[in-house]
Amino acid sequence: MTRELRVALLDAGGGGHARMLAASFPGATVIEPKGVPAVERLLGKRGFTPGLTHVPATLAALATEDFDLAHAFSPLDAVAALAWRRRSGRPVVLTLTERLRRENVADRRLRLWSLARAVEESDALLSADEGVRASAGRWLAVAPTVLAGNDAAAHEHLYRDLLARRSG
Amino acid sequence: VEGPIAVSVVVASHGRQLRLRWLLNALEEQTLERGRWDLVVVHDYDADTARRVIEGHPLSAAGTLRHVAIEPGTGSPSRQRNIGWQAALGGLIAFTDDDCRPEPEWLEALLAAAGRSPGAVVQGRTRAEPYEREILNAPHVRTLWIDPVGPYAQTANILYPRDLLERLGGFDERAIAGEDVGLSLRARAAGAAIAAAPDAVVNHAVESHTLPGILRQNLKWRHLAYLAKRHPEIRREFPLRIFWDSDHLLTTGLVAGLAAARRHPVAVALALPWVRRSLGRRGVHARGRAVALAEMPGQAVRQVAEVAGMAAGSVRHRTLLL
Repeated sequence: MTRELRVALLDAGGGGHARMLAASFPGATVIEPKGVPAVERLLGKRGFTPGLTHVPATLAALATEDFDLAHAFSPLDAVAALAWRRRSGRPVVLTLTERLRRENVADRRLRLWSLARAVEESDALLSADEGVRASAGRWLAVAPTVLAGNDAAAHEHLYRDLLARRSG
Repeated sequence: VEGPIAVSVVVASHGRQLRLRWLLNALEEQTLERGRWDLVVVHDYDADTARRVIEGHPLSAAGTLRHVAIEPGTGSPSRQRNIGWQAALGGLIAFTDDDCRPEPEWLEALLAAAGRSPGAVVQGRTRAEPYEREILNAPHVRTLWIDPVGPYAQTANILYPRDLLERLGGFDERAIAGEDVGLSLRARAAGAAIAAAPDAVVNHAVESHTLPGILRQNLKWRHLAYLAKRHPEIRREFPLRIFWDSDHLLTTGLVAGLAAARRHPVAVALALPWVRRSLGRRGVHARGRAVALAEMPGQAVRQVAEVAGMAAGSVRHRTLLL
């Protein structure tokens, strides 16, 4: 999804995204935080959801520049972006990419907490496809907007709208 | 098959809208024919949440689900369940909680058991949610296991005949904790049997808490002294008739042993049963022992706080329960 969106935005020229953050955007800063495998293993044994060590890494990366907007593609990245929003006041977009099932909505420690927080508090909630949207409706009682990864124009429109609302 | 409502499911919900949604999804998958059961949810959510989570659910559209909204902050499990069963249509009332997921055959199995034991209360089996088993690795966990018939008749998975609820006047709304236990004790005293339905299975959420979180969560148990005062017969279930469970007995030994050890070093032996149990809670292998040892201080704080809370409740309700 992020790769698809990166290519689409690159094709579209990436205009206006020079100081925008997304997970993998052309013309924007790409943050691909590295986890700490040894710590992840330890946390995994104690029942924690995978990827927790990405959160401080993402937060640190967000602090390196004066970004306009953060677009997360996982609930934990969104949690990091929401912490960044508290200081920066800038909007956060979350795209759900994973089809939710009862088996995976609360299977590990902090999984439900991060999922609920990310979905409830992000400024815009998107889904990668209709299947993801339907699963979010069933398990989270939300109705994310479906935006295809290759629809750069719709993403740009959304970003501009969110930024305009902030400045307005 | 359309017919009269045989059984109504009643759920009290507060502060768990997502878990409630998952419960509704599980109830949607019940194998009992749709026309034979209905569902009443009594909650204190705002209008937007109720619209999204409850009214937007397929069970609402099908006419199976009704909900009653009460003013935020005015609810209690007892009051909400009383509102629920009084609004329900069935002659049998099945209670479950908003942190539970019944298996698809749950209602069918409860109804069959009620048919085999007319007039009886029916208790199903409750277990930790299999999808959340990994969370049991956390140091402070809340979940529920019940093999029926258990002594406490929790509302996670229980069925009452409606006329029995009417005769008993429903749940005691003065009880802050243990209201479900109190109701079952009154039912037994009124001559009702409690029948087991081990194939009526409910999966209970496994929730991990921080130490301060679990301390806050467990504060309400101090009100169990009210239950012991109202129903002294429940003391038969308690170790030495004054301890809620064996953990509290051992924790009291720990506190007494450490307090007396300065003057009488041999008194430290009173703490050893607690240490032995705590060291074994993660199994007997070396890694389990190491984890248990690391968790021991937190467990001690938690259990001493629980016993202290129970002591405070004993003073308040003027009856000893630790």
